[in-house]
Amino acid sequence: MAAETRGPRRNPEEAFNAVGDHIGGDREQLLSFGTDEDLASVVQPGSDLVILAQVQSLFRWAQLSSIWPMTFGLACCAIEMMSAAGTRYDLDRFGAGAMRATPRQSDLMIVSGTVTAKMATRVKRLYDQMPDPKWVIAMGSCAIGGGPYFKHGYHVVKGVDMMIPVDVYVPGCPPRPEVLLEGLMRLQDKIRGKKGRLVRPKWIDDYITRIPD
Amino acid sequence: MILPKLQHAPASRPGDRARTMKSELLHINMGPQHPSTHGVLRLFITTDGEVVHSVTPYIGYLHRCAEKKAEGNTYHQYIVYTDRMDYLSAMNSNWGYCMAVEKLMEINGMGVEIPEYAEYVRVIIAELNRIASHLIAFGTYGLDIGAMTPFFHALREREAILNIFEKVCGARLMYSYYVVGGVKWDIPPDALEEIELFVKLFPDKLREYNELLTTNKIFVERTANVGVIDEDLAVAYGCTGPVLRGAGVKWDLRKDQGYSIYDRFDFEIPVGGGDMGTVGDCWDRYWVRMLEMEQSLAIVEQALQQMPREGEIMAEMPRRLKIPNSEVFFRSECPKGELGFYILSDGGDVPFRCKVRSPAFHNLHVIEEVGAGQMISDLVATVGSLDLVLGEIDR
Amino acid sequence: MTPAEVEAGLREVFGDRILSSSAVEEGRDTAWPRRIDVAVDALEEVCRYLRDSQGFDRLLCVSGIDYEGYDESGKGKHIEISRYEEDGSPTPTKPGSGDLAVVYHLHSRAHGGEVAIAARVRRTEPKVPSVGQVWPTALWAERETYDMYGIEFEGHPDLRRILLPEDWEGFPLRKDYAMPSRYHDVPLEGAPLAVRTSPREVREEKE
Ligand code: SF4
Repeated sequence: MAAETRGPRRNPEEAFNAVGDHIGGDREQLLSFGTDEDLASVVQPGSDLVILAQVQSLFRWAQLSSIWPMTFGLACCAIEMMSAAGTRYDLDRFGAGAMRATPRQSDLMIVSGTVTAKMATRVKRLYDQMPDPKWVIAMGSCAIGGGPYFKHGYHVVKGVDMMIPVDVYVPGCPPRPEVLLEGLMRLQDKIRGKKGRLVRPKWIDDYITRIPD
Repeated sequence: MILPKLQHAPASRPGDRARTMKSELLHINMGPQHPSTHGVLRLFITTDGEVVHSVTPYIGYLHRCAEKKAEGNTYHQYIVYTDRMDYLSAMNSNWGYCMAVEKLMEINGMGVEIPEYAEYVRVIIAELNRIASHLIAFGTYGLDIGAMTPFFHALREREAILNIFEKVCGARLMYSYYVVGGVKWDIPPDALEEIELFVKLFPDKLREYNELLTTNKIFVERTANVGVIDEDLAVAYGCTGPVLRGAGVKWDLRKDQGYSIYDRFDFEIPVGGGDMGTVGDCWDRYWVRMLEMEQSLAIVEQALQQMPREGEIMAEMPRRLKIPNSEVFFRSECPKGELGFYILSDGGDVPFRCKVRSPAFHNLHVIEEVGAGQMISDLVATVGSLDLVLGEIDR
Repeated sequence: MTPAEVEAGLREVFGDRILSSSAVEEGRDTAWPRRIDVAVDALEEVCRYLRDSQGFDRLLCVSGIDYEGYDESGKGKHIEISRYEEDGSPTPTKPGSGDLAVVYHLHSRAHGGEVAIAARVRRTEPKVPSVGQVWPTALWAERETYDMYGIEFEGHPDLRRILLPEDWEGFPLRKDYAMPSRYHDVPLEGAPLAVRTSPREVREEKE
């Protein structure tokens, strides 16, 4: 906005009312603004820049746009996680590029790889050390349910969700970086409070009908 | 490759004063979740101030029962598990296993002749994978030492190789491309073009890497004269691959055992010569890897020229392999060292026993010996220079 | 140096403590590596002799073998690895009776020969002398064999489990190993914890 219209500072209450006048809605409506899709909206009533949102949604919005994952590579999937953070896929575009080397500074744990009996207690401890709010992505079929080591895998925990709660499952062995990005976006949806979306691709239906009984 | 002249690292190092001081012993746990341990490796360190008194590696955090799996899967099915051992050079592990089974068949008079075209395809793909693996070693070693940039450069070129692999077999990391008797698919023409382009462009990139890291003063200071593994130590501890060659031993199975068609190519075996410090220090191991990338590139280039335009990609193979009582121990040269498969068959369709000799397992063992007496930061440099892959150590 | 020469040398020094050699039986006496079975008590001496007099300076690999269920006749069968019952408990297995064996693969840089030295022990008394003094690399390899097969290496300075946790029960690569479904408080099999659906619900759970 043009700089010359900048007036004296107003208190928030006043600003709020002014905004109400400006967009012609009532206060209640404004408060309920941004619960689902739009967490926050920026309006510029004449002078000051005002962000209107519920505090909770605003926080969520902040959380989802700067997820700090923990540098936590367990097995082969970690290499794909590295690729996702690397030059070509660039996790940073989604605000999740600040890989932290300590659980105390991170809010997302990407369990990338096979969790073994020896490692499971460590995974749990690392999870407990992360400050709230925290999220978990189970990356790869090993973390989801034992993957290729399901049978005869005497030392493999068949799914990290038996140890810690998981928010998003990213399937594949290993999942391509694109799939991890998709998983990250679904996690962002979840943080936003959006309902989960299950879209079955059309080809699956086609495929199912073609399977002989 | 010609290196710009650079002064040798000074004989006295910054840690020397700290080494002479004595204080109480401290126990430190490094890992299993530590950024510089390359996976889930745990090092239990006793230190005297800043100086490491003893190092005990604890491994097994990624023990995935690969050898038990072999006893429950047929010879063909087990190929996918060899992918998951050394996941940075899956093609090479695939190949090693396939060659072991082929040798086992040959011993029993069931020998298959691998078509010549398929042999060339195998060599080209395996050498590209070697480059990709060394690129990761180069990039993460930079990270360990504190240089972030090389990692991104290395990943960029690695993606180019992965692109090729994706065209060839559809996967980025777990290929299962080699099968007993040949390879699974032909190289599509556009992938071939891409390989040619890569061969043309990569030398420039190598030069770039060298400018970035190899002769960087800080890098040399941190790696030269550090973690010296000399010939005797390397042989006694069963080190192989760049660790052995870095110690000045000219030993490479591709030349010395001459498997597949490596005798048709003209390439060198780079060995560490102590250019920046002592023979067998971290810098030498790093440098051997850089030179090996160049040699691999030369092999790919020659293979592309010699390769027949088209041909069979797979020999006639029985669908169900049943191998009579016999055993084989076959080693092949992987990026990390000698990967060996010891297979004991008893006539069934599964191996009775399949033992994997993993190079990184033995390469890691030597850290107990080398680590003692170093500064902690040098220990990080040494561990990084061994290029460990925990999937292969723990299996 | 050919495999036949290596074996001839061994037989000269150790006599009937060299039990058998695989390559001769099958008429492949030029094929490396050749497997030579030796008596257990002679193992360390044989290794020392091979290193010092025959130039085998590298130990490549130490592998254990469990001969339970091995079909000598060569017909072979699909060996059932023990599994789980319907209710998730491991299938009980009866203890095996086959021999255990350790195989050492050696290599010489001087003459390029490879040889495999094997020692077979009774399952009830799995004790083998350690060759860690001959090749240091054996120390870890033997720990791994102990971990997987329970073969004890006498004279090993530090015989602990290496891959599995130290209090793990059983030796997994033995053919009669029963699959565990739990390790202390770590479930190896089972149902997931309650699945989270949205952050709000999680918060409610916690209160
Ligand atoms: S899911 Fe596949 S790629 Fe990922 S850790 Fe497991 S085996 Fe490795």
